[in-house]
Amino acid sequence: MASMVKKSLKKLESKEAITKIQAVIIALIIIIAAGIGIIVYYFVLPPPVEYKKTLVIAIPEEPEGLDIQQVSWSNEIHDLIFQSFMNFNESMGMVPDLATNVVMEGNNITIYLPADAKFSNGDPITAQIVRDSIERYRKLSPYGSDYDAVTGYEIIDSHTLKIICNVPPVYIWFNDIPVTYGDVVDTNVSSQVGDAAFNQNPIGPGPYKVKEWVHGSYVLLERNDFYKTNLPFVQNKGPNPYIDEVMIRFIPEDLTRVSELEAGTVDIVRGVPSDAVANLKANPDVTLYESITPGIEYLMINVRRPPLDDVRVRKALIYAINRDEIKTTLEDTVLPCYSYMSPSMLAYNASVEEHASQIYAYSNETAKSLLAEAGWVDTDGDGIVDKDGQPLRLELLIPNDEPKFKKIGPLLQAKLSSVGIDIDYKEFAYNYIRAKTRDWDFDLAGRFYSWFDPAGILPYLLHSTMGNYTYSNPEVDSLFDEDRSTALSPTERTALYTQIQNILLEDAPWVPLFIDVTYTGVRKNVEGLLVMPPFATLFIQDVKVKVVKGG
Amino acid sequence: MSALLRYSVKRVLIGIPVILFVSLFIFLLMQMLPGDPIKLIAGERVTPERIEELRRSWGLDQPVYIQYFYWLSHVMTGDFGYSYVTRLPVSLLIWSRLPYTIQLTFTALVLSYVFGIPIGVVAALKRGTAVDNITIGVATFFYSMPTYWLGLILMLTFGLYLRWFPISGSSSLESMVLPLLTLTLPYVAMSARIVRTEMLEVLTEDYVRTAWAKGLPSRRVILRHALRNALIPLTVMFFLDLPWIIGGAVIVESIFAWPGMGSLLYKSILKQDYPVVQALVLVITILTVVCNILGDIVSAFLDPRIRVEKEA
Amino acid sequence: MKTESVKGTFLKKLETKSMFKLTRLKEFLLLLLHYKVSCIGLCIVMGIIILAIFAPIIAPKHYAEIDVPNKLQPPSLAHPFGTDALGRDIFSRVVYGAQIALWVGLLVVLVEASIGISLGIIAGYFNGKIDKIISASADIVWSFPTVVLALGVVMVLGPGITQVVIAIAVTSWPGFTRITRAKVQSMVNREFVLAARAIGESDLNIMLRYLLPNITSTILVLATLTLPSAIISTTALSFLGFGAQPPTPDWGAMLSEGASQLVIAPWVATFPGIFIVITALGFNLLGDGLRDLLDPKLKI
Repeated sequence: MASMVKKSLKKLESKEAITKIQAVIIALIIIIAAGIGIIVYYFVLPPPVEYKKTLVIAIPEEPEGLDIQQVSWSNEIHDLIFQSFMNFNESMGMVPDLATNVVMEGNNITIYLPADAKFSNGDPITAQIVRDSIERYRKLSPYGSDYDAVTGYEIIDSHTLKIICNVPPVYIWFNDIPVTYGDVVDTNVSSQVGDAAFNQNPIGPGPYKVKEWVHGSYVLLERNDFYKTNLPFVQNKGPNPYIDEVMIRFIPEDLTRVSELEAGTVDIVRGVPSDAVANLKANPDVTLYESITPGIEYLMINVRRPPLDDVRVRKALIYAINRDEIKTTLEDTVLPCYSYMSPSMLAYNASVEEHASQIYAYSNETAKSLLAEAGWVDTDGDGIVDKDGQPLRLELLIPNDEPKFKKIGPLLQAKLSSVGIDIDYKEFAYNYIRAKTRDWDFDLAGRFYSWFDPAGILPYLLHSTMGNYTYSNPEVDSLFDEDRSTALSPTERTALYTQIQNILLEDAPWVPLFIDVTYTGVRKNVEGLLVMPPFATLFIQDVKVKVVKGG
Repeated sequence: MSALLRYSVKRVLIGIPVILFVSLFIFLLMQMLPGDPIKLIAGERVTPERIEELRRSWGLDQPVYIQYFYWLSHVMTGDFGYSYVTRLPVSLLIWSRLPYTIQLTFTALVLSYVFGIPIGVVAALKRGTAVDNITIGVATFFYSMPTYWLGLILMLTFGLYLRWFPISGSSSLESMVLPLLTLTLPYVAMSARIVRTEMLEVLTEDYVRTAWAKGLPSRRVILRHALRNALIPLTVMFFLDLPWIIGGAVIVESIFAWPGMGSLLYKSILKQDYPVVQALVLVITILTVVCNILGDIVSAFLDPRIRVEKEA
Repeated sequence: MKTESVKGTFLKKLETKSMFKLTRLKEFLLLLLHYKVSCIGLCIVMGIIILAIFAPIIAPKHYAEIDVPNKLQPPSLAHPFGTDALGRDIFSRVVYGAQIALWVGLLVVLVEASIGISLGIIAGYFNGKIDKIISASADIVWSFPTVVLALGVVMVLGPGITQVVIAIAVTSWPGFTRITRAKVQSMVNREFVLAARAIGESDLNIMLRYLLPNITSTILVLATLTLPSAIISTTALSFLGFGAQPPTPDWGAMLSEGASQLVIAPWVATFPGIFIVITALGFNLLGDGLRDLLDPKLKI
């Protein structure tokens, strides 16, 4: 061994091998190059960015179930598990999402699906499954009557379905095709596991699928690697490589939800309460997205129960309310509303609201004089108006699970008291109040609605047979019927709803109060988020969440 | 031993009709509630025809007694029906939340005795001194404090200002700290008070005071005797307090968003979700009756006089 | 017992010092004052009662007076406790709240006591089956969590203060029943009762005129000690949203209104909360003192 070493050393010393000096020089060059490389890597080039793998969203309420066909209200979880055939862009135009195209022609709607459309479990989405899914919706969903106009189907090919109706299906076009409720579900799985199990773990084509549902705490979703979309406004038309999982936490307390956002334990927060808006706007780590609700909040009046059957009394109620005061109390997070629709709804006409705000401007005196005209005067000086010896006493039902309504409740009471009405104030859960209005057992009830297509909501509240509430006007009924059975152009629709609203302003079945503006709080390290109308839907296809070092 | 067994069996036998009676009472109470439940369930954009269809599918078009027997028979098999608000099976809701409540309340009870008993003993021994007075003062203070107030203060100080502990959810062990503290502190106060009172009962007897003053080795015996005297009612109280602390947990769970049965009860009552309320009240009743029976049996075991007395 | 010895020496001193005989009442009041702790309790209780009775005079503004431009103001001279989200003066609301707290608490104790004492006397006097039924139901109702039962009752009856009073009273009467029953049982075989029976007094008469007067001191202690938990329970239900409806300035309701603004306006929830604690503390201290004096063996 030693002799071999000696031999190689001798070889090194010979002229054929490189000299020692040259070796040293080479070594030095390598060291310097490495040093420069290290310096460049750490100090000149930007540090490698790390991204969070889990997106955490906090919402106020746990959903009833995860199967969109079995629930009566949908939320962020459904938006992520399911995928609509079409969807809305910023200007409320319809663009393709799951489908390559959806066409309405005459009395038919044709849905064109991409050949490689798949559910999150790999099952192909075929025309047959879409048909079965629609039939299941008609049977199970509380909104199943959406498809009442459907008379049959034609399966043109495995990925093209024609829905045949007995009237131009404008209703389905607006209220089901671009909306989560109308999304396709994997009926093969639902018929296998049963509806109850499917409600815990449904299969849809959305960008994420259900991994775990811990009741009372959160739902954990994981990426659907079969996801594909045709949405023009997202860059990434497939699964999001950055976000592996989405955790949706249920935090009903407003205070807690907001503080988790501020602390950074939650990335996105929905339903920011009005008193946290100012703080979050000033917070450098948070971006606030505003969205005008496509609906209004109002007091429903029982028009059949005296003395509210007198339109002068109803109008007096409208004049008695100071909507600007409501706006101030709610920290400017609402818009005053004098008419029956919201700007983010289809067929909206701003001049109706203009006109209404002028003729119904807040006026304590007008309210009092209207009451006096109807025979209600304060004869015994107790501050409450009376007629034939009876004081004017109205029961006011305020939903205590709607924070903004609950907050202004005392305000409404004070204003109505100031015109001489004795208010019997009662707080109940919203669904209970709604049930009471359905039973016609109320005086004044705090209610609201949120739906972008007036045809998809107003008839259920104001049509005498479709809604079955206390208000009933055959003229309004026939206008609603016309919209549901004819294919009107956008301008014609706007004109129709302007006409309806003008009648309603005269009949005064409601006291319009305000339009809610919802706020979504997002941490600044969340990039690529899209918040789209009409419901401030979150699109997370392009989202990346940078890991912020140092907390 | 057979006397104890007979006593136990008697108590259990009495318990069963009580539970049945309460279940009927609750069910009827819920039926008396004004309003049509199906109108509670139905969403917004629903026609009256659809509501009638929904009524049939929920079985709400049957007469009351059929509905009761249907409910009772299903309850026997563990099926409590479906929630009006979430349409989930009620048993699922309860089972998923029960462990959280038990976790919280059991720990709170155990901790409050672990801390309360020594404090009470010390206070009793040092009766009349500053230590005793301060202890009683502090105990009375916490005892006078409503749980919701304590919870909010703790949330504000430790959760929001100092940010030591999370103020909601059940994600980590730390998130249990604040709700636990809120439940435990008033109970520590209460148990300390009771231990002190019970021990004093023995310690202030004349013969005891004499022996104590003499400082004989019998001191230890006296201490043990006094302690035993105090622990008997405490052990019984443990069982009787268990359903009580679930009541306190309703408020604490709601404030801290702890996903237990208490916050479920609150939410369900708020939203008029009758099937859930029915089921929860039944579960709590069963728990109360069982704890009562256990408490009675334990106290009979510890104090033989009770068996005889109650038999006579 | 310490009480006896202290009482004894104190009274002896008084008697030697003064020339007049001490009446029972004077003796009682002087003893009460001697106990510093229950003295504090008494002062607090008196303070709250004064606030409650003179609320309209003490409070600068009406409790429902809304002043939106001045909402969420921190404490100042104009508003010693600040204003809430609708601009209402919190100091005024707290003062009126004392009225409600005391009134409601008193009602609850009254209803509770009526039910509880009647049942207790009947149970203790008659023994046998009636006693068994009453005791068993008392045990069950007592161990049932009050909040849960009360919530169930308000769910059926609807929200409102009257309903809350019924709910709480109906779930807390066993407290009075047990103690009354024990006391009656100890008296039932005494000579004066036996004598009364011998001369032919009716059962009802015996219960009302012989037994009841002898338990008044116990009832007083019990009532004083039950009042704070009645106040806490009713405010708890209001906190949860089932009791007092707005704009009633119930302390519990005010606390829940202020809870959402805890970080930006802590004064809205803090002051009502402090008053609840002080009131409860006052009655507890007073009750403890009364118990030590009147019925030291009472176990609560």
